[in-house]
Amino acid sequence: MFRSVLRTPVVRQSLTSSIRASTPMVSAVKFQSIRSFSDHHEETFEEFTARFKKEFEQAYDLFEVQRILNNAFSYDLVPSPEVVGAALRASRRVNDYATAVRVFEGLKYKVENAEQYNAYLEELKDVREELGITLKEDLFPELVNTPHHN
Amino acid sequence: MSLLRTSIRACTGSLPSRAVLSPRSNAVASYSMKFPTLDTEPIKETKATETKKSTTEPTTSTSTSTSSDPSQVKQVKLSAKERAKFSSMSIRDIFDGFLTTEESYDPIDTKPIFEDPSKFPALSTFHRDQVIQEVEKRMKRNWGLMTDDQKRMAYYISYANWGPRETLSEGSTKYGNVPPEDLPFALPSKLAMVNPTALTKIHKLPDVDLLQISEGRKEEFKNMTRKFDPLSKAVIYFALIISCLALWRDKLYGEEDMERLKHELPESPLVLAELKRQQEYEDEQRLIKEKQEQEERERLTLEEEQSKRSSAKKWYYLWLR
Repeated sequence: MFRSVLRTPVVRQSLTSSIRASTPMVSAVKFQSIRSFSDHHEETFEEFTARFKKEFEQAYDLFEVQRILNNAFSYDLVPSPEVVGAALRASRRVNDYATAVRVFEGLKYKVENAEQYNAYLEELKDVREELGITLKEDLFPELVNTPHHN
Repeated sequence: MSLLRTSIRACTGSLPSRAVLSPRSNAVASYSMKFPTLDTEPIKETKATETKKSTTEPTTSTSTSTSSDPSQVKQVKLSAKERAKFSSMSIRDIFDGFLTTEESYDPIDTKPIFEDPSKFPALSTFHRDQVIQEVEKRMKRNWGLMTDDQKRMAYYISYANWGPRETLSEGSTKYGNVPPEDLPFALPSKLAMVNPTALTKIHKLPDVDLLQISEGRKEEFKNMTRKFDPLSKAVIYFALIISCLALWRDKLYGEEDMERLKHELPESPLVLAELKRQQEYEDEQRLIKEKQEQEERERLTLEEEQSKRSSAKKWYYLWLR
């Protein structure tokens, strides 16, 4: 039935005309791949912060929190206090105290010097007090006098 | 049995190493040390008495000699009764260290573990679970109310070097007075800029191979990915070839046997009876099938006839109208 419809002169003519009309347009359109796996989009600091904040908020178990933490710390920037705060709250949500302590430990080695670390501690003081997180150096006092490792 | 006896002797022979043996094996040793005196001394005594005594009493039996010493009689009775018991006990003692584990399943007092978390890895799995459950239960509540011991324990369980993290150098000094080795970035961190703007582009750092971050883990990785040496390879391939050949031969052998057995009558009356029963069952089934087919044929012919008749009637009926 469909073939017979195509064979009718009116339909055929209209189809060929439409194809002819659209051909120059197709050639003018630039080819764009649907799957852009190899397209490395360079993320900005803002995008990075928003992405990881969202990921931490959506993390549903300890494995996820640890995985996201590893990812967040494997870029050439120190995650912003917002991201670290989200990580601490995610640790609280999955009830893992050790990971919360580990976040600060990671931060300590990620920053370049003790001043930056103290600045982060100051910024995150409220969250830390709210959640009751003790730093590793406070938990193990024998490490108090050790210099900043980084 | 002789092997068991030798093993018992070997056990009793190692008396000087008293500290190694358990009290139970000492008891066995002391008893078995008496056995030779019981077995040999009366005989010697009888021989001595035989030589000393006159010919008027030539048959001085062992019973008379033993009856003269009441303590020895008691020992003989004991040995007869408990010889098997002691031998089994001694065997148990020998294999005690290899076969049995003295793991208790009673909950322990976890306070000393919380005070010194480094005791945790030495615990049995059951007691580790007990401690872990206690910590997990506590972590579900307000962290601000956790004691320092509980916090230390929580950290130790998760990130100290025990279990799978044993090969990490962290914690090799007291509680990890070294940077963690499993960080996803290389140390030391060098800052490119201090104040990034919202539009500053960021990049991923090169991946850190967590399987080879420490010497211990490198060794583990090497062991994990180690290839077989040529001799082992040859043995494995040889075993595979032999297995395949054996399977193939087994299959062929089985087939030939089945063919041969079809034409041979088994000798066992049980097998014959089974074959007979099988034959009868097959005959019965065949008869039932034939009967069913016959009935089906009859039914079909009947239906054909009926349809012919009905069509004729119908035609006739139509013709009439």
